[in-house]
Amino acid sequence: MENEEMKPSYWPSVLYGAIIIGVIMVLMSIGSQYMTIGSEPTGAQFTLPQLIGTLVCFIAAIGGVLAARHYAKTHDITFPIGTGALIGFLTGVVGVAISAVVSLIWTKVVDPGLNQAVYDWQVANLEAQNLPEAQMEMSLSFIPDPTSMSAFFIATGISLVVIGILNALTGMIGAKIFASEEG
Amino acid sequence: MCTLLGSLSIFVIALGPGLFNNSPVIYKSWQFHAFHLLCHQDADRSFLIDGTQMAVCARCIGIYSSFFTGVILMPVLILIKKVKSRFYFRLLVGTIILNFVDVLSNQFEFWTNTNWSRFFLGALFGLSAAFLLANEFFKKLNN
Repeated sequence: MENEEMKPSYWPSVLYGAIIIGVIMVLMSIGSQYMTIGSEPTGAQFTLPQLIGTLVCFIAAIGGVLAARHYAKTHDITFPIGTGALIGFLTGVVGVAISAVVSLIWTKVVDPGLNQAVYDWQVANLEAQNLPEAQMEMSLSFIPDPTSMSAFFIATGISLVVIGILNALTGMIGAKIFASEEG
Repeated sequence: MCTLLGSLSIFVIALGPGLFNNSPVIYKSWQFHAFHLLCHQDADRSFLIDGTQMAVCARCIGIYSSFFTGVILMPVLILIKKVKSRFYFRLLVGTIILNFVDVLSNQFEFWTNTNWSRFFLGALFGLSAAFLLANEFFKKLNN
């Protein structure tokens, strides 16, 4: 039963969900980059990392469900879906932050040449498509500069909002399934 | 209201820059970056708006659009019939399995799905997720 006076902290559950989706997002991101540079640039549009992306598509949105379930089961309580939404939103935001920090450490400290290697692979892949020179130059201009920090922070900021909202929605679903009084 | 606005904003962002006709290059748009951790965003598996690829694939736009539609339909659904959560939970699990089977079967070439089949299967999942939440928002009507 929900106890308004002694409501346990939801932060351990938020961290639980956030660490899981943060790790998954990092593995998806860094793992797909290594698979990219390890493969032959054949000019294919649909590459191996994208194939994996198809299978793990949407996995970053399950943090809300995981955290809501953890909160309900750990403390054996029920709570309204609004609380599930809050837990989900925080899980998404913290998960993206964890993913961004680990990615940054990996690409700046552990393997500083990774971004450049991915950039070189993308250029080689474009060359393998035998595009006309004008189209080739245009395509090259769309590949982000591997040394740009502003692009990284903008992408992270956008992900914080979108993945936060999505996890708020899945947090409500998690609360409905695992913490509803209806049963 | 927050659910309605949240699902609407996700849906509008997922439609991509073609909706606003301000960026013909999908890879430069903030909408594309917003979903890069959530969707493979393969051009061949995405719909176009005004000649520009959407920010998510056909299956994902099916999920987001139908969830938003489901949120709008919640009061109507409650008025028509009392919602049984257990039934909608089973429906949700069923649609997840259906989508998973479709992805794997296409991958292992048991059948070839299309953008529209992906869209409809994704839409089933989004609708069932919205319906599962329906009686939480309209408890008085449901009782």
